[in-house]
Formats: sequence, structure tokens, C-alpha cells
Amino acid sequence: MTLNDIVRGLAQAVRLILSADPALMEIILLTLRVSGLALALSTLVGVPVGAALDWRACERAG
Amino acid sequence: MRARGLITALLYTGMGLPPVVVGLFVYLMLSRSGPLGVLSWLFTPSAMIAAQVIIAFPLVSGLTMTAVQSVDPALRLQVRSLGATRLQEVWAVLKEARIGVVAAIVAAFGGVISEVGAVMLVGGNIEGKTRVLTTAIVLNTRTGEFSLALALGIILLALAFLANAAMLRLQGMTNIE
Repeated sequence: MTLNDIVRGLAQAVRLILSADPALMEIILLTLRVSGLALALSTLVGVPVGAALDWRACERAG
Repeated sequence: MRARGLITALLYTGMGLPPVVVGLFVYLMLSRSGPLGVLSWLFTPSAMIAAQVIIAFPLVSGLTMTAVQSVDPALRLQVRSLGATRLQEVWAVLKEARIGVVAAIVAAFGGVISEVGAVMLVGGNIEGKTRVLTTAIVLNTRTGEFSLALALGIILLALAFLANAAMLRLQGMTNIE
């Protein structure tokens, strides 16, 4: 891996994005869909659970 | 209380779960003869989402717990004495701890977007079906397509940066009120 390769990689990245390569777009969309949904589910459940795990939230009588 | 310590220890362990072990576990659960085999989720995006939830959930809940615990106890007493319902009390505490809560979500996002071991195992890196940026990088590096792998890596970094910038903006917006 030389500096040249890195420059070439950068150039290819720009080219791929600008050309909106369909295969690449599919990969990007799936990445965002999978990670986005996983994060949304984890946040929806994880934040309330994290908040409830503070014992002071539970010491309230009644 | 001992249970509290145990839950905390389990959660902190969950925050450091090796993704590949999560992948193996989900794979076994979803494999045809596994307990959840009837779902037919293996090698689909659903399986990848399931694995990533297992990775992200302890991060979100563990770091949210830490953030909430560092809120001044006086705030809780104050909103309670003002007659807040339990839900309102939790909401007030979460709002006070919002910087830590957003940090928890950001950490979990960093975990799932960069994750490769689990999604590779349960998704199978099938072109046009379950191939994501990280698994595509692994494939292209292995096959010697270094500039393509690097290009995908740069795109992944850019996506992560944009997503984090958006989340921090959200954090800033909640600060204004």
C-alpha cells in the first residue's frame, strides 16, 4: 500500500459517488437501513431501560 | 442491593460483547434447526438487524444509565415535590442528562456502523441482498481490489461523520430551549 494507492482510492471514491454507481448505492442504502433500524430499536428500548436502571427512579413509594 | 450490581456488571459486559460471538449466537438461534429457525431470517437483513440490536442495546442502556445516575439527585426531589408523575420525573432527568444520552446513542451508532463480524456471519455478504459497506471492504481487500476497498472505507467514514454531525445537531437543538 503506497501513498499512490491511497490517492487512487480517494479518486475512485469520488468517481463512484459522483457516478451514483447502482451497486454502490444499494450497499450504502442497506448499510443505512440495517444500522439505522438497529439503532432506532436499541434507542427506543435502551433509553427507557437505562433510565429505569437508576435505582433512585425506583425508590419512590407508591 | 446485590441485584443492582449484577445488572450493572452484565450490562457493562454487554457493552464489550465481541460482535463475532454475537453473530455466532444469532446464527445458531436462526439456523434452520435452531429455536428461531422458523423465522427464516438467516442471511437476510432482518438477521443483521437482530445481531446489531444485541450489540447496540447494552451500549445505549448502559451509557444512558451512567448519564442518568450522574444527574443531581436534588432535581429528582424537586420535580417530585412539584407533583410530577413518575413519567414526568424520568423525562426531566433524561432531559438533564441529554448530553450523556446522545453520547450513548452516538457510541451505539459507531458500534453498529463499523461492525463487520456479526453481519458477515448472519448476513452472508450476499451481493445485492446482504452486502453492506464493511463486508464489502473485507471482500475487496481479500480479492486485492485495494482502491475499491479504500473507496468504500472513505464512504463509510463520510457516512459516519455525517450521521454523527446530524446527531450532534439534534443535541444542540435540545440545548436551546
